[in-house]
Amino acid sequence: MALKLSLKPSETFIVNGAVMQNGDRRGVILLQNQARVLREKDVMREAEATTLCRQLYFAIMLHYLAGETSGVVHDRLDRILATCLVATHSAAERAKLLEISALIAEGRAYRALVLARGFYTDMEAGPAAGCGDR
Amino acid sequence: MRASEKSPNPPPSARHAREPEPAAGRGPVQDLDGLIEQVRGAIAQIDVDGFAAGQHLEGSVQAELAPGVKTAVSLPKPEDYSGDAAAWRRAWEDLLQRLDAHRNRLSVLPGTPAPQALQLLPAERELLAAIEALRK
Repeated sequence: MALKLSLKPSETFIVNGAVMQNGDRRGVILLQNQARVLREKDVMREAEATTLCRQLYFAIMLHYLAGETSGVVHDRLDRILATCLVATHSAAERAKLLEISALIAEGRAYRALVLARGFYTDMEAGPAAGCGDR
Repeated sequence: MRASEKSPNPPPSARHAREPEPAAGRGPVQDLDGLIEQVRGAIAQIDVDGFAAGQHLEGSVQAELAPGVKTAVSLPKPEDYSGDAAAWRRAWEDLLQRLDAHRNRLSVLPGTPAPQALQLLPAERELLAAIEALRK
């Protein structure tokens, strides 16, 4: 089944490691086979990976974009996952991290990425959602 | 005695009668339990010193929060409560309740600093640079 991407003008997206940009009008692209696609809104900058939870997302993103199931990118992700597991004392968070880990092991990195985003955004919305920095 | 039972504006002599004790919990707060302990300490101090605790609380609690925690919570400022120590105390209690409610969710604090920058591969750097270039 084709994946339909509706793109805003000038929207950037990545397909199998190629950075692409839509033209100056809205556009639609149909991907007819499996590919590693990531939209601009889901791309985290290196400078934004400032916390452990964000670093996990960033590492999964790079792992997904690399499309490799072993090697240095995978090892790096394993190390961050292990660090997160050590850092958490909550059964719910541990379960979530293990789910992310299982998805990566199954080669479902995009799904893992979605979970990892939920993981860090939930945390950041935590105790004082709506309260600003002081 | 609760802060609400105290005069909102104690005489200067009472205000400076003694230095308030530091808030509970010492050292940088690295986890939610530490932060909750700090907030409990702040409330206890308000109970004793009312608004006289204000300046001290701001210094002792906020200065000791881990950087990421500081961005996630907003400490009630005495100047926002125009002399109403009871309302100020309630704001601290509200903060305590919210922190308690999220105790489990926040055991990995959003602000837990990344241990170190990731060592990126040249291809990854190139990819990220290409994205960045298009964003500008």
